[in-house]
Amino acid sequence: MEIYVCENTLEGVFSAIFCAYADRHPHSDNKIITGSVKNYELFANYVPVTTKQEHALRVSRRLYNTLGGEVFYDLCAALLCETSYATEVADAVYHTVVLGLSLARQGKDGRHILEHLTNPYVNLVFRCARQTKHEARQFYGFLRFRELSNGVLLARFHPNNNIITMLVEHFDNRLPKEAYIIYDATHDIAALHHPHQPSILLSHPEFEQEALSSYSEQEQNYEKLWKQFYESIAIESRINPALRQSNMPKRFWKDTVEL
Amino acid sequence: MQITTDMDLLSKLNILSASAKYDVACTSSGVDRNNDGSGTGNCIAPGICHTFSGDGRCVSLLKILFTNECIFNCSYCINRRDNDIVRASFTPDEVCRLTMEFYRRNYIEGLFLSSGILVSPNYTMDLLYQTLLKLRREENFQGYIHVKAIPGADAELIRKVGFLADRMSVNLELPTKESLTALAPNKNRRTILSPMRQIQQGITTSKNELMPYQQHPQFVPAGQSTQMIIGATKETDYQILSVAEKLYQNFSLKRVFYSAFMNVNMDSSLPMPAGGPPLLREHRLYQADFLLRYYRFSAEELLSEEKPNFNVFLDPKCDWAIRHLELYPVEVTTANYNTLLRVPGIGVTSAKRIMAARRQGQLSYPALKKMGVVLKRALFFITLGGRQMYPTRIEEDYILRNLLSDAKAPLEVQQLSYRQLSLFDDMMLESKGQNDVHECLQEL
Repeated sequence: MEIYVCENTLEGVFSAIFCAYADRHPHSDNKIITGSVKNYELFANYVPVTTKQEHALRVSRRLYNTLGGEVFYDLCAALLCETSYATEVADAVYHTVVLGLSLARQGKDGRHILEHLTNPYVNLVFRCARQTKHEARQFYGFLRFRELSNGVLLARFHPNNNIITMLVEHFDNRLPKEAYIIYDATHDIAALHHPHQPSILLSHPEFEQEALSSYSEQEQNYEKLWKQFYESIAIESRINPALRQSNMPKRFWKDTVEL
Repeated sequence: MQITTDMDLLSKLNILSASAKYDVACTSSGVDRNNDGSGTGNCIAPGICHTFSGDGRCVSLLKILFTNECIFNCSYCINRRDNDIVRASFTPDEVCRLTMEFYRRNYIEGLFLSSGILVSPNYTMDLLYQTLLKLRREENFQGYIHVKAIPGADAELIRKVGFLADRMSVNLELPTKESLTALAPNKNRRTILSPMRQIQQGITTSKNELMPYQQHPQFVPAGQSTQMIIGATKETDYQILSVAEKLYQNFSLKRVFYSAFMNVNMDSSLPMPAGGPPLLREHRLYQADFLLRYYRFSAEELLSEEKPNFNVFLDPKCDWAIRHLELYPVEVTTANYNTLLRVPGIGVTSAKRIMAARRQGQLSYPALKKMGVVLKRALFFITLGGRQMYPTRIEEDYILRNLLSDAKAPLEVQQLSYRQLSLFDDMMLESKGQNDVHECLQEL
């Protein structure tokens, strides 16, 4: 039994998948774990995987071409998931890929691989991808930009999963003319966007704190208008705090303006 | 009393959003549009909720009235002519500035612009047109715009607005002609239905365009919606649902919204609902509305002349299933999509997942649960490989007792004693008028 130990990134997991295929051991005996080994198993051979851009690219190209863009997107989304049940998602992605590619080799359509929901690996991938995509969708709405004194928009947020790439994709299309920074405070990753250019991701960015805390003159004014709007749009005779909280759980509140 | 002084933007926004809050529609769904790189904004088809207000409703759009001055005198409306309230109007500039600044801070998904009727329907509609034109052309705003068509405005104006907006709506307000005449003396069915018909035809023409260019402006691409007030007049749920069904069929509406009536004007000619607005009734109508649109039910299946109102204890789908126990249990491994949809606890998404998953491997109860099937409801109605999840009786009383013991009863019925429970009782819904359904479907 081979256990591949890799970095907890898309590139890391894809490199591990590359190694697993290159080694030609039976896939059903293999396993991929990310990060460090916490509890060693008996009779297993631990293989450390070094992340190689080239291997990761080859794997992702293969997956994209054989399983289709949608499945590829979901596999990536699943790998970004960090909830409690997602600890073995890298292994689940690996076995889903094995299943998908073997179907494709038999002449069946690999693009329907995520419909094998009765397979426990596929099911885990499906649930993790759904979780990540759901959180990204929530932050499409709940993210708030504040205008700094130099005209740059700054959004700070605390996601559970590593979704910043999905947000960047959305906001690059939405606000092409703006200069903005999206900062993921949980993972300490920032996305910088210059007008009309694709965003750049920075991990552990070092910002000047003063520059980030001086807001423009207009900012306070518009925040006040927004809070006013938020107050007056609610209907008094239908006030329902429980419903609000189930639609918008409290963990989102700290990064919004109105709550 | 009408005193118009120079008001600052903050007080105007306060007044004009508070006046707009009774409009239900705040969805930003139905259109997928990427930014072309030159402007601000895009749209995604499922829509995005940006926050949830204190009443738990989604806030997606900047929902405001252009003005709350109005020459009409509809008795249910807070902005009616006779009310002594502070009046205010925006200028097109102010609306554009608010929209753009809110949008770039990601507060909103777009603009919902409605209006009281200032001077005349045409005058008001033209103001709305000028505002949207400025927003689309000068500010190059590419986000979502929902605009109200003012009843009685010229067809040409409505056409011009339709090419700038994503969604348009004309409120039907009340399900029958008689109620409309009684409560909204300045409106009539014809001035409401003719713009609705015009928008429908515009959408069809725009969709059938022979050469759909990317840049070619589309007419109301996200479709049109409408709204009905629930509980102000004597109509039954059956009548309301039948009207909604006709609107979906004959006017190709995207949504019909229901608004629980609140007597905001303390008008003595209108009912004063004890215990607040009829929220449970509104909720049941929305549930039934989804059954019409996504579950292929018809209004006659859910309700009838003899049973014109919804069961307060059970949602309409469970209610229907319990009255049709002869059709159950359904064998999940072989049932077709339509049959699966009619099982309580299985929705559109899980039915589709079941259809796909059973082609690829053997189903099991735990797998069904992971796919999103609500087994605590579904288990009474399904078998898997000929077996029930555990032995149950397919009996009305047995299923009813189990369904209700598990579910939290709606707030409005928690006070009622369960001993009196009979499925076909219309517990708090006092007897409604005996108008028959055909009457309210006239002209639709």
